[in-house]
Amino acid sequence: MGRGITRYLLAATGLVCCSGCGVPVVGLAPESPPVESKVFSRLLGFTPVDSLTPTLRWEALDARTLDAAGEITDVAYELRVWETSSGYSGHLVYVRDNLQQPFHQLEEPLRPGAKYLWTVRAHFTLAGQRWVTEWGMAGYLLRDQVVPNAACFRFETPPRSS
Amino acid sequence: MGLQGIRNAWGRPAARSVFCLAWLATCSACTPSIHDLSPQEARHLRAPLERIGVRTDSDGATLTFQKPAKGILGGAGRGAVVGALTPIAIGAVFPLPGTTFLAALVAPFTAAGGMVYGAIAASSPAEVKNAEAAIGRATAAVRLTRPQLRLRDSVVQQGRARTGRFFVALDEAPEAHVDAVLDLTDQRAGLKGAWRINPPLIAFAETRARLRTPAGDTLLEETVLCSGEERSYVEWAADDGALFAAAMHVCVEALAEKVVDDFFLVYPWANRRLD
Repeated sequence: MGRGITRYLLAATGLVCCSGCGVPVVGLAPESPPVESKVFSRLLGFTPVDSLTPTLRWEALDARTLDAAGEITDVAYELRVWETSSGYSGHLVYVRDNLQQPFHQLEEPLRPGAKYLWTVRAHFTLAGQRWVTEWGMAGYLLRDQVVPNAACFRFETPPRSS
Repeated sequence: MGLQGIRNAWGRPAARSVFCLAWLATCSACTPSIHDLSPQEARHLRAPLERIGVRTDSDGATLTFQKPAKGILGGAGRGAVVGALTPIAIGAVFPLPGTTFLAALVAPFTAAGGMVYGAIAASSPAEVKNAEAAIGRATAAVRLTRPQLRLRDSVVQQGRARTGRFFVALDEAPEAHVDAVLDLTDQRAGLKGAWRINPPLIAFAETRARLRTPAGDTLLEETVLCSGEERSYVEWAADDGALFAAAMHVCVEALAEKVVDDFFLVYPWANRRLD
């Protein structure tokens, strides 16, 4: 009986703790489409977008976001989008390098009613050295895995072009 | 504490937990990863490394293939085990007293149900055998391309192109002429998934990457993993295993990119939380 109550208390404590904490993220955080966390899943949901050429936005890289001492220069973003069926991996459908702004409207239409994984990273110079951020991931962070993986950001396109 | 003392202490749960925590702490301390470093540490570690030698195992990857249950007998057996274990696992984690005991009472019935379901749902032996043969041919074709050497060469190529450092395959240069050696070992590949009747499987490839001094001191260490989409065993085997072979090909390049990124380019940035 005592062990059962202990289990119940542990589970309740876990639920209370997790309800107050946000979604873990590495690299640049996505802004649009926003991440859609699910209650009983460590993986993100597929956020619906209203266009087949959605605009993807992410946080801008600067010394404040990176919490770095020194000036950050020569920032360029690299974006990748994969079409996926299971959400664990996918087929690369869109790549852009050397983006100067922390957003990008896709220049080629995606397939209607399809699911996509996307991620972004920044190349930059700090204190005379070239660096790159990790690929952006959220939810259950798979930092040891190549992209695409189940922790990439997610969206799904509308059934028909709008 | 002597050996006998450790043996005696091991019997006590609290002592066991302390040993386990100490073991985990030791293991994490002895395998430095880029994510454990501060930016200053990463800069100091990478700065003197101008010439990197890349070495790989001469043997091929260790292959493991999760397979579906084969035929009525295979399906019934696997269905019975899954049927019996599922309620017990649920009972064990359910936060109410007595649920494990109740689950154990229910288990024989769910095992019988699982057995019947497994016998019906399992793929025919001929279908699984044909799929095994196709995956075998695809694996042989992938082996012929020497993926471990392609991984090494891709790391060399990407390292030279993207880091400004000089990378060289170590059979082209003696170890004494490099500042650090990147060992790519313990390569594994195959299909993995849950142990079910006909589970969705992920094609995977992984390698252990260890950056060390020529004297053998470890600087950084990480196991990197590449996963493909989920498909059934028979789907992976279609068209002589073409999808599996393609996934392995993509993984070689992706693993090389990840190794070069993590060891030589990534800015260590702690994970954060989105509100």
